[in-house]
Amino acid sequence: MIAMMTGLVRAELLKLKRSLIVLLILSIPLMVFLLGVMVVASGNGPAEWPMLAMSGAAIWSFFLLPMTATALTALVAQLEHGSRGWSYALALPHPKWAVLTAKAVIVVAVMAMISLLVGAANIASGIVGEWFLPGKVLQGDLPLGLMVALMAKMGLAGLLVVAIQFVIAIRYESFAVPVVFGIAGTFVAVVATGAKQGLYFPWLMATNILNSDPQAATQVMLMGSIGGLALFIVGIAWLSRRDWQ
Amino acid sequence: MSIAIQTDGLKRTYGSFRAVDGVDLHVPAGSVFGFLGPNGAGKTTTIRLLLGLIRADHGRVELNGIDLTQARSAALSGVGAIVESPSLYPNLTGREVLRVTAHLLRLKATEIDRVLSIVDLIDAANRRVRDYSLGMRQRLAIARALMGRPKLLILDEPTNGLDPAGIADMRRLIRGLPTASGTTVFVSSHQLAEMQQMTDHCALIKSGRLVFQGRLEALMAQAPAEFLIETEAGDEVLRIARKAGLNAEVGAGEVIIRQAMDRRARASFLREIWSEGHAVSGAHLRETRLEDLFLKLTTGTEVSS
Repeated sequence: MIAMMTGLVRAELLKLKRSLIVLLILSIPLMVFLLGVMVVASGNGPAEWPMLAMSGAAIWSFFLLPMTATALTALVAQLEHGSRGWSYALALPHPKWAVLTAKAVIVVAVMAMISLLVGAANIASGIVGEWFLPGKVLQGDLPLGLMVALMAKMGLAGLLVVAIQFVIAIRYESFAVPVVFGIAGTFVAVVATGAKQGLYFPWLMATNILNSDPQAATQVMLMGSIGGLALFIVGIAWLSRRDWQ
Repeated sequence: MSIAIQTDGLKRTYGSFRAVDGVDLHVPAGSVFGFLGPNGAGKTTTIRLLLGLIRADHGRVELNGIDLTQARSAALSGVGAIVESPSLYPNLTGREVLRVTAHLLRLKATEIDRVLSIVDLIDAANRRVRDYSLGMRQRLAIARALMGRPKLLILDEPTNGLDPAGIADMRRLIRGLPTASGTTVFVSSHQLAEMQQMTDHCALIKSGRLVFQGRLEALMAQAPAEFLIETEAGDEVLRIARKAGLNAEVGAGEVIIRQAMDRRARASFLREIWSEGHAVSGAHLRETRLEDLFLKLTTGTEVSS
C-alpha cells in the first residue's frame, strides 16, 4: 500500500513539471510580500509585529487562500482533463480511490507549502518595509511562532474549501466550473462576513481563525479540518464509483 | 485455446439508448483482434466497459481469465490501453511521460528505453510532447501502454488522424506485437480497409450488437472474390456460366461470377468460352473488401468497388 501510494504521488509530482505550479507557488507569497512592504513603508500600517502578522494572515485567509485552492485544484485536475488522461490513469491496476487520493495529497501538500511561504513573506515584508522608514520600527519581537500558528490553523480551517474545490475540479471537465465556483464562494464570503452564520460558511472558516472569540476560532478550525477530511473521503469515494466517459 | 478477453451479455444503456446491447466477446490469446464498426456503434463504450471506466448494466468481463468486477486490479495488471487519442502530458518530454508510468507501475527505468526502442522514439525521447506530431504521440501512447509487458493491449482507434505513413507504421507495430512479445492486441477502428490488413480475428459491431465474430478469413469467405470477364458476348458467356452451375450476372461489358473459383476452375471456364468462339478482352479477380462485407452484414447493401 505504501509503495503504491509513493509511486502514485511521485507520478503526480512529475506530471506537474514545467506546469504553472511554480508560478502559483511563488506568485501568491510575492503578492503578500509586496503588499506588506507597501503597507509598512507607507507609515500608516500596523505599528506592531503581531498586528502585521494578523493583517497578512487576514488577506491570505479571506481572499488568497480560496483563490489559491481554486487555481491549484483546477490546475491539477486539468492535467488529466486536458490530456484526456483519466481514461489511462483510472484504467491502471490500482484502485481508483488511490489515484485520486494521490492527487489530493499533492493539493494539500502544495497548499501547506504556499501557506508557509505566505507566512515567511509576511514577516519578510515587515523587515523590508522598515528599511523605507528610517527611525521607525515595528514594535515587539518577530512573531514567528504566531505566524506559523496562524498559518497552520488557517490551513486546517481552510481544508473544507480545498476539498470542495478539489471535488468540483475533478468532477467537471471544464476549467470554468471550478473557477466560477471559487470566485462565487469568495464573493459570497464578502457579503457573509457580517452575518452571524458567516462563521459556518466554508469560504470564511479560515478567516474566522482571527475571530475575537477563541471558542469560535477553535470551532471553525475543527469544522473546517474535520469537514474537509470528511469531504475528501466522501468525494473521492463518489468520484471513484462514477462513470468516467 | 486460451481467451484474453471474454464478455458475457455485456449491456450498457444511456437513458433509452442502448450503447452496448448484449455483447459476448471471445478474444483468443495471441491474436490481433479487430473490433470494427462505424462511429457510434458502441466500440468505445465497450472498451470503457472492458477497462472498468464505466459500469455495465448487465454482464461480466474477464481479462486474461480474471473477473474484472471481482478482482479489478488483478484483471487490469496485465493490460495496457489507449482510449481515444490521448494528448499525454504536453509539458513533459516523451521520456518523462514514460517515467510517470514507471512510477505508477513501479517499473525500472530500463523499461523506458525498451518501449521507446519498440516504437522507434529513442531519438525524440527528450523532446517535449507538445512538439510531437500526431503520429509520434500515438507511438508514445503505444509505448506507454506497453510498459510492464502487458499480456493484453487494448487500443481504441489507434490510427485516427494519422497520415498514410503513420498508419503503415502503426500497422507494422501492431502486427508484430503477438510474435515479438506474445501480446494479444484488441484494436478498435472504423477504418475497415486498414483493419483488414492488420488483424487475424475480428468482431463487427453495429448499434451495440455484434453482427459477426471469428477469424477474418471466415468472414471474408462469406463473400468470395468476384471473377470478372470482359467480353462483348455477355449473354453467351452468361449462358455458359449457368450451364456450368456458376452464380453469374451480366454487367456493363462484363460478366461477373460471384462464386469461389480456384485457378484451375477459372482457366477451365475461360477455355470453355474460347472453345465456343467468344472473344474475351480481359479477365481478373476483384477481392472483396471488408467494407463491402460489413455493409452487407449490417445493412444488406452490396457495394461495388
